Amino acid sequence: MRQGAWDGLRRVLEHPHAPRYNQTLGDRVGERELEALAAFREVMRVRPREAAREPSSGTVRFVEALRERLFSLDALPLGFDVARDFEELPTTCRDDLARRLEDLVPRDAKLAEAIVYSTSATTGHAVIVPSHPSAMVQNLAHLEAAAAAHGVALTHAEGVPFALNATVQRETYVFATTMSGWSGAVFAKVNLAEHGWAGGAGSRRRFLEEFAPAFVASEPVTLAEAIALELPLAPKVVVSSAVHLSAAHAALITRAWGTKLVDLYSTTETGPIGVTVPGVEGHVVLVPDLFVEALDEHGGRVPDGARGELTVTGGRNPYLPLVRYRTGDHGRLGTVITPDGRPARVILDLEGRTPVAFVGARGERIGSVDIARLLRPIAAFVQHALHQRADGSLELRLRPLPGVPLPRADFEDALRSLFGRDARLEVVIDGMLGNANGKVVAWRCDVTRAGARPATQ
Amino acid sequence: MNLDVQRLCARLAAAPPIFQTKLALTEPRGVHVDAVVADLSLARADRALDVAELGSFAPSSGDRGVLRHLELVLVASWLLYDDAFAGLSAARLFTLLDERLRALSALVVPRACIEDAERREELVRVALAALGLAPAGEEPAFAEDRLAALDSVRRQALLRDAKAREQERAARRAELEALKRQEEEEARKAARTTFED
Repeated sequence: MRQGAWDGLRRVLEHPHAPRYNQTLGDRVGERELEALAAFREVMRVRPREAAREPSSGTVRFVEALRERLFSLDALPLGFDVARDFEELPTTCRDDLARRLEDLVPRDAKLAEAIVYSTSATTGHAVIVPSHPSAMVQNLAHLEAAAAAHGVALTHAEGVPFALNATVQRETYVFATTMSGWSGAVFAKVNLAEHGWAGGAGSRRRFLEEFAPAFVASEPVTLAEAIALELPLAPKVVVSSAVHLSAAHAALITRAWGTKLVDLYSTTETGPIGVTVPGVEGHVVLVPDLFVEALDEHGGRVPDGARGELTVTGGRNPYLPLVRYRTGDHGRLGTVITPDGRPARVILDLEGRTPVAFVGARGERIGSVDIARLLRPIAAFVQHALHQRADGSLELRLRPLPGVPLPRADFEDALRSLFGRDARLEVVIDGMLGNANGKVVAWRCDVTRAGARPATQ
Repeated sequence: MNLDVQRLCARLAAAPPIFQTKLALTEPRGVHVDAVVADLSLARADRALDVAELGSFAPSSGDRGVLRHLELVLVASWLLYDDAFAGLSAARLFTLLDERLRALSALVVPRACIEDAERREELVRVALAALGLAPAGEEPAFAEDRLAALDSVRRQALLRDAKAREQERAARRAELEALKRQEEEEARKAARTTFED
């Protein structure tokens, strides 16, 4: 690390009002990784994006090159032609990471340089996602492009506090480091919960005031909390990810902080997939080396505009090259022209995780997508959790936006319009929803499917 | 018209686009393979296949494996519409289309049986053998050898490195498990050092 970067980092680490650091991490970015970042900046700038329903020759070459390297592809049928038979390529999903990771990691990739992320499979098993510092640092080029699309040029300097990753959790990694890809500027990951600061709320305020991040990465629950606490933040750009961010919530953040807001769709396994761009509805796939499809339950590609499971091919992770990786998230695909005049794929109505089926009064299936469509226009909220118990009764918990009252009766009426007038249901306004560990199960149904007929009052 | 392998391969190579249709359950106006097979049996077999038999060629689900089998049946139907196949045994025809092609479709992409020379020859020879027909101008021993060669190419390709492959996979699995344990240990250590009120 260069002296200037270290001096700046030390000031943040030794700050009298610093958070309770519990980790020492570096970005493991050296010359080779910086070269990869520079190369990817150029790719972002000039390479045509995957803008069609069919994969480009670049994506076909990407898969061809993996045929001899992935166990998952070495048993393709005879005569298999990747360009012609792309839709016959087997799909993979998160549970495959738990069950047969060895089939998805190139057999010649040396694991010694891997950095490892944990996530959980739908079966509840923990899975690891091996990645490489060079793949991680290239994500910065994507963030730069996303910020630029919002009219923000990211200017950073060695040793100067620049980026903050904020969360509100019971426990989380808290650390500061420098970002070699961003001039050696200082980055801090903090827990905004009061117990994350030795000096409590006062220290939190003083530290954030002096750190004055130009770039904040977070998720909707933490952002709502930060605004409710009136924390002294005025970043040039905020990147929100992890869960759905409503337009009203986004507007609240941009007003409160006078900032630009980018909603990022990204997963641990895939890296960044799409971002919101001014003047374009949905999440735009800015990365040119990612081919996105929407698939039906059997793996067939659905027509543009139809809802399907978002499935990606490509990316930059040398340990987990994606070949038709089913994200578990759903949306509709289309092609748009972005403000820079280039075509790109766009994901409309992005809905995290597989839709969940609830059970109506007559035993009929009610999809979470339909429920979401009905609830969202009523009033803006940060997060929701709808739980249908085994007896069919329902509980909807809503975390309000700071200063935005929620009309409980309207939510009840909406649910009754779907689940029947006599449905047993309760709407709870819960300002702490998501505070326990940052994760909320948005949709959960415990009613057994066969012959389901939930009780009414 | 005779059962010359090269001529039949050329016929496959010239299959009209409708016989190369990619099937999807979501396409109600798409090709009905069961109807194609019904017409084929009427035109070329010693009896028409019955409703129960034809049921094997209606998509039971949108699963790609199911659809791929039907796509291969469609390709084979074009081949078998050739005049040289007049008077086929309906029972053998059914066995070929139902069992033999179902197995083949797990290993071969249907369109490869039109576009790739070796796969065209394999489909022609598989069909002739299953129908109990001899290729024109070939000694039986030669025909058998040639079919075995095409089949054995596949079998060898699948089996050649099976043992070595499984050993390599197992070693890789162990390596990744070690990486996972290391990550879990680091997470546990981090949890112990996390402050909490």
